[in-house]
Amino acid sequence: MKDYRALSFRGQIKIQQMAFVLVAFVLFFALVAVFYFSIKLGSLREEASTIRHEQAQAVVKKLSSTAEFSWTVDDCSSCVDLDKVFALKNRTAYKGFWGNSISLIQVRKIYPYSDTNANKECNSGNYPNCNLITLLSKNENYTSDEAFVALCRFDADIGVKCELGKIILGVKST
Amino acid sequence: MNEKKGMEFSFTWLFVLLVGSAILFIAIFAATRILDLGTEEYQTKLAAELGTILSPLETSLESGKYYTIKMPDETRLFNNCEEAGPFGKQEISLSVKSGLGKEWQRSGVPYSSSNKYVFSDEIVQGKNLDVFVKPFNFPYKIGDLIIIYNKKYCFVSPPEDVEDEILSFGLRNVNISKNKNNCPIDSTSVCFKSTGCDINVFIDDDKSGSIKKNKKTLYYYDSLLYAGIFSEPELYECQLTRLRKRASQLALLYAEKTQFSSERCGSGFADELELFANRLGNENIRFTDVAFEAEEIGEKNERLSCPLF
Repeated sequence: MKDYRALSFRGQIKIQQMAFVLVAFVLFFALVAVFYFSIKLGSLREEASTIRHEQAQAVVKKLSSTAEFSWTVDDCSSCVDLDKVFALKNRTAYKGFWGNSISLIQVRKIYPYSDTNANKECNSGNYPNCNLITLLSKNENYTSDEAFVALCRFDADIGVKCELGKIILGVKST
Repeated sequence: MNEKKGMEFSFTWLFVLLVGSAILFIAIFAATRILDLGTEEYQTKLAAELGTILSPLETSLESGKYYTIKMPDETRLFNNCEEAGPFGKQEISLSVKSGLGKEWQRSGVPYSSSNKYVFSDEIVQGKNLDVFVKPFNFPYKIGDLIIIYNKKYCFVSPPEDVEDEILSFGLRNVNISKNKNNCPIDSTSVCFKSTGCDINVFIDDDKSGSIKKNKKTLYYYDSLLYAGIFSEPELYECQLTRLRKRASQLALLYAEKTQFSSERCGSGFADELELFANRLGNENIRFTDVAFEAEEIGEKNERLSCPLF
C-alpha cells in the first residue's frame, strides 16, 4: 500500500525546490538585466554627450554665418558684426532660440589685448571699450568649444575696424 | 484492485506549465521591448547626427549648396514644423526600415531646432537624401532654406537663371526639358512657361510669383521658389511663418543696432525698420506683400555711410 502522506510530503518538497529554483532564476536574470542596463545607460550617456559635443562643434563653426552674428557689409565668412551681437544681448525673444542643450554663448575680444578691458563685460555704458559679450549663461555644467572669428564694426575714425576674437559655446554636460 | 491507466497530471506539472509560460512570456516581451528600445535609440541617434550634419550645410557666402546624404539603411524622414513661439520649431525624426517585426518602426525622438528651415514632403523615404541649401535674403539674410528631396523632378522650360543654377549645382534627380512629353514618366513635372504639369509656376516678375501645387497656391519670393516646388504646401506655409517671424526679429535687431552705430555713422533708419518688423509680425502678411518695402530698405541701406547689413 502506498504511503500517501510520504508522497504528499515529497511532492511539497519538490514544489518548494522548484519555487526556489525559479526565484533564483528570476533573481539571476534580474541581476543580469540590471547589469546590462547600467552598462547600456552609461554608454548611452556617453554617446549623448559625444553627439552634443559634435553638434556644438558644428554650431560654433557656423555661428558666425548666422543672420544674428554675420558681418554682411563685406564678403567675409568668419566675420562677426559686433554691434549686432551687442544689440542681440538685450533681445529677450532670443533667449530660447539657441536650444536647450546650449548653456553658454560668449563673444570675447582677444586681440589687441587690453589690460584695462580684460574680462570687462560689455554694457551700454562701456561699449565698445570692453571685451566680453555674454549672450547666454545658464547655471549648469557644460563643456565648451571655441571658434576664432574677426569682430567687425564701424569706427568713426578708421571706418571698418576688425579685431581678433572668439565665440565660446558651452554645451550642457550630463 | 483495478488501477486506471492514464497520464498523471499532477500539481507539479500544472505549476511548471503555468510558471514556465509566464517566464517565457516575460522573456519574449522583454526581448521585444529591448529590441524596440534599441531601434528607437538608433533612430534618435541618427536624427541627432542628421541635425549635426545640417549645420555645416548652411551657407555663409555661397549662393547655395548641394549634397547627397547617404543613410545606412532605407530611411523615412519625418519633417514636422511648429509655428508656436517667437521663432517656431523645426523637428526631424527618422524611422529606419527593419528586417525584424514591423517593417517600419515607430520613429525615434525628434531632433529639434529653432533656426533651421527644412522644406520637403511630410515623409521623405530613401537611402540617399538630396539636400539643396539656398540662403534667403529679405533684404538682409534671414536663414537658409534646406530643401530635402529624393523624388524625380522634371523642370519644363525653366527661366535661364533657374536652369543655370540647377546645372551648376548638378542637382540629382532634376531633369530639364523643353517639352513636358520628354519628361520621364515617373517624374514630377514642373511647368514654368506653360500649364498642365503636376506643379505649375506662374512668374510675376524676376523675383516673385506663385506656384500651383496639389490644388493649392503658394506665393514665393526669390529663393523660396525652390522651397515651394519641393515642399509639401502645409509645411511650406508653416516654414514661411517661421521665416517671417525671424525676419521681424532681425528687423528689430538692426533697428537696435542703429542706436550704437548712429553716434559713429550718423542716423540710420530705425523707425522704418521697426515699422517693417511690425508689418512682418502680422500673421496675414505674405513676403510678396512687403517685397517693395524690403527692396526699399535694401536700397536705403546701400546708401548709408555705414551700412547696417
